[in-house]
Amino acid sequence: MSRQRSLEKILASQYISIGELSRITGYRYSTLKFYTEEGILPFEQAEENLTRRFLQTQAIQRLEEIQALRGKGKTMAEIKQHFLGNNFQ
Amino acid sequence: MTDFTLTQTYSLIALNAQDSLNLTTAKKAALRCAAAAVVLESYLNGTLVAQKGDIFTFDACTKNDFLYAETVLPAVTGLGSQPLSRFLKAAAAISAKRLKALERNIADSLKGVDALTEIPNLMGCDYFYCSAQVNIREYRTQETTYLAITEALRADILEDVIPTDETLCLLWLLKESGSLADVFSQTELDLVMQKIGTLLHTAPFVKTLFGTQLHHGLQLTVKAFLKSKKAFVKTPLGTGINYALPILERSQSVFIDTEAYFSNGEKRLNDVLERLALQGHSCSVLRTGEVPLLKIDNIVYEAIPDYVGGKMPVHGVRLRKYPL
Repeated sequence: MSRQRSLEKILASQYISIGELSRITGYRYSTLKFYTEEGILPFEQAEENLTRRFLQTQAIQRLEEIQALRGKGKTMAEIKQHFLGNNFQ
Repeated sequence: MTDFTLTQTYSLIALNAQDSLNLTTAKKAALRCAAAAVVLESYLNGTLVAQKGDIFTFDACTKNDFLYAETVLPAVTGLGSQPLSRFLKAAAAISAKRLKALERNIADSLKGVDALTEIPNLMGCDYFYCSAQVNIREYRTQETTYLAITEALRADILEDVIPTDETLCLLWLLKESGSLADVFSQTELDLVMQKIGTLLHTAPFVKTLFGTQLHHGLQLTVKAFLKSKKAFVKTPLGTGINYALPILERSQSVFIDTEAYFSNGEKRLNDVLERLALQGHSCSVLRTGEVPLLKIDNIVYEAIPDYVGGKMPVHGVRLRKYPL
């Protein structure tokens, strides 16, 4: 079993888990999972069934971008097009 | 976002929407688990240490920075070397007086960081409660904090990863207090139980923890019954039945008396708004007329003219949740 990291440690680390990303951004787990599955939220995974790790700064920046696009009234298809069209991943 | 201890994290979920002034059955179940959370917190802090096998003992210099721990630790530190389940059960068995002190201390520690507030309950505006000067207030966890805690918990347990000790402790506490359904959907609950079932065979801590039962069957049955009753009266059919038979669920059928008999729509509305403002509720009028539409604390109600019988009938309005 492992121990939960403190907020200070999470904020200082380069890679964070989806739970930690949810904790520091306040985004719902289901939303983050949906974004990762749609391919618009970048993550790293060594092998299949291993923990998804998110680059903290990159993930937070991407969430802010998605939020801004949603605020402009863009649909999920348009947002996906926006990021994938920009040679994302 | 603040770093909360296990007891605080659990309490932010379990105390949300609970009556803050009276020791209800649901709150008693929640507080018994909060007392057990103090013991688990000692385990996570390393002050409750494993001796051999599943026998644990409290460190001689056991100390917790939080005041709430002082209401529970004296009841368990003197037990010597015991299995973890014995410590948990001893903590959960503390007196009602100590439970109230524990609640006050936990609530104070959370109110200090604006994570928990006390808000007036709409029932306090009801004619019968108001005239008897019965004050009803409830706890409300700050929305973003509640979301961050519950979503992090959901992510940790539903993701394909080994959950942390804190997550497992929190999950067990929610299970024992009958609050799991507040956080997980039925489908998710099946996944959670599957995962716990797998961990039972691989992690001895999980086996010890989930093998311990704190809940009182009757308390959880009462809690589940009251919850299902409240859920039923929120359905369109239930709302109608509850309007005809307010005794079914009083909290969803609040009667506010008006100053005069045969009052007109405008005067009735003024009386209602005055009562709501007096009890500290935020209210806006969405529609005026004979049956006005009011938005009270972000929930929309119809204020239907009504009366309650007795030696002398009392005129007023009954609030009925507006189907959106």
